[in-house]
Amino acid sequence: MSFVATFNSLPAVELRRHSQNATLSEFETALQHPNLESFAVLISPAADLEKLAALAQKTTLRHFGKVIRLYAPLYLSNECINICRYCGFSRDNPILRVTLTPEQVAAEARYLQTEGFRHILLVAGEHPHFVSNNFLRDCVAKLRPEWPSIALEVGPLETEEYRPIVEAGAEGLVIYQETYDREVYTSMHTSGPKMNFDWRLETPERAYQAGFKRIGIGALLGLSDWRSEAIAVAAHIQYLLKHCWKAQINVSVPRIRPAAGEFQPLSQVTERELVKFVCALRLTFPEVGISLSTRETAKLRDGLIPLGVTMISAGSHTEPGGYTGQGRADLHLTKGGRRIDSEGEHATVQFEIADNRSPAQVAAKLDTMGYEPVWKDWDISLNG
Amino acid sequence: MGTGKFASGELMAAALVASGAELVTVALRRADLTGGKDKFANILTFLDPKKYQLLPNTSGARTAEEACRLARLGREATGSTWLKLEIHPDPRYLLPDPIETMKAAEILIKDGFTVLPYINADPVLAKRLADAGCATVMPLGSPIGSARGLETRASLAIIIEQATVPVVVDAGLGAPSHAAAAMEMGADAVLVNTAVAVASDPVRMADAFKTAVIAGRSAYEIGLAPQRQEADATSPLTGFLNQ
Amino acid sequence: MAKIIANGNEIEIRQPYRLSDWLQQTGWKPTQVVVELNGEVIPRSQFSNVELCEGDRLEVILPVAGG
Repeated sequence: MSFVATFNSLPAVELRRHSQNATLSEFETALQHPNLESFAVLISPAADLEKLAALAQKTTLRHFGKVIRLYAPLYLSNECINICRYCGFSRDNPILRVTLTPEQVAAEARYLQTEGFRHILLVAGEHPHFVSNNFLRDCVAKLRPEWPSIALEVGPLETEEYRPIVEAGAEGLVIYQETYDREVYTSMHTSGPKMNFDWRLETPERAYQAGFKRIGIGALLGLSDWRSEAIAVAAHIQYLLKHCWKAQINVSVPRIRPAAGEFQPLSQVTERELVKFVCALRLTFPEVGISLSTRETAKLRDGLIPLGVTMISAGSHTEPGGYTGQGRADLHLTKGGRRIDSEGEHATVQFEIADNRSPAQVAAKLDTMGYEPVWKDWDISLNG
Repeated sequence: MGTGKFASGELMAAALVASGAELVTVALRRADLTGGKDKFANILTFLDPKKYQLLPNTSGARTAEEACRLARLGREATGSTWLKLEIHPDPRYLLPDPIETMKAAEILIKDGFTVLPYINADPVLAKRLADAGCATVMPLGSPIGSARGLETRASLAIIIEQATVPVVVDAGLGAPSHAAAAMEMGADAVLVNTAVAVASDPVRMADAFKTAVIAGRSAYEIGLAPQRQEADATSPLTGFLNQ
Repeated sequence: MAKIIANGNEIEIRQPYRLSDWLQQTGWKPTQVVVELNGEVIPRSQFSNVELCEGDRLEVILPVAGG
């Protein structure tokens, strides 16, 4: 039994209808009883955003206090065998690709250490050859001595494949379902293992079995109707809180950004709707971490911090070698799985970022807002 | 329903019918070998296995080992793998020992038992027992026979929210209102014994508890009315959206 | 004669003595009780095949009312 069964039996249509035509009095009631049904009401047009924000702020303060966890993404590779219409790394995009060696990864990571980071998110495309399980394990093992908290955002694996990576020192796994709308998912993923919707949907549970302590999920907003996605994400959180109860569950709310392949979002998600989504998540799941990457502007990120966002990245590069130019000599095109050497300034990015502030600038802004940036929150060595 | 403390087998049987109970617990004790007949002769004669799921308990056991021994005897006695695992070393308050219960649960589950553990309202213990394969968790409302109702309400709420198995509130329910409250919180069932057995009219009290359970369940399914609280408005937090 | 312990009491029994015969003289029908011999539960179907002998520890258990 996995979340797939629960997901398939969700009264999705009814919840979606309720998230559209809920009344103000239903909104008042929903504020009293955090559950999936009331979550649908909290994201409805009738929900008073200012009241929602006030309660979300109070809840966030109570559960997280005035601290924001900072992390940095480090892209290991932009190779990928999947074709995903919205992603810069899609196999059919003729972009400059590279996979860093563990030593090059360590060099990039050392730079991030000097910026103050102690939480790192290793990101890579899915490629059985260029981005093998052993490669991931070696990168984690390489970084383990300096990095107290290592998370991965890579293609889904089996529990047994995750175990050596956990044993090497990885404690967090991020896996976005991208979209919970099966039809849209099929049209978005036209080639490669990522076409398997159910197998991806069960990844958080397999990761939990392998021993990951922090699990991050989310939907890429803009692929489908945002209220339907929000309800699905909420249902997924609710399920994981119950079944993966020893893990810290985190959720991300990324909106699609311009990327190679010029994919145009199918639906628009406004800033007001994103804020409503974050506040509703915070009220319904007070203890769940919410992360917001440099995809969003400084104004929106700073505004969302009091309302529920608890983890942010800063000064991010979304291409391998982005921080110190590692791997520039090895840039190439990949066609039919074969390398075609090529020249270039840097590997191609996964998406354009919108908040270009440096980590120090972000930390300074947090100080002025009365928030303490937490560079190091946990130390894997304590896990024995 | 529990079957202890009733004045007679007949009265107990009548109260069971009135209660509409589906699970009925029985205990295990040494038989009198001197030829004299026990007051209850054999309780199974009063309990139609077709109407009730028999639930032998392990009361009297103070360790996991003793509980496992009683469990195997209970399985032989009732022919069912269902078991109320209860280990209380302290005869005064009869509070369950979490460590021995966890140990016994793991052994008995491997041995094919359907384990329903009686526990204190400890949410982490409840999760670990469910992870180990227990069929339910049975947290207490207050100590056995204390009739003090849901003294563990806050922890019960957490257990119910996190549960992936049915939650049976067992012990300490002294009045029908306690049972209704447990059901309103979302409990899947309640287990009552003393409050019915020692009532002046056990059959009517059993019926009262049945009604309370049905009422509580309906209220839970309908969704309780909100307590009116005015959220205090603070300075516009979403003003940044308008800049 | 052989000494055995039944429900914690030491008693003397003639030899040989089948469990089913001994049980009958206590007044309990096999369907009413559960028997444990030296720590092992004996299925009712086996009562007539088991011989009691010196030093056996016998427990005759009865389901009774309980919470």
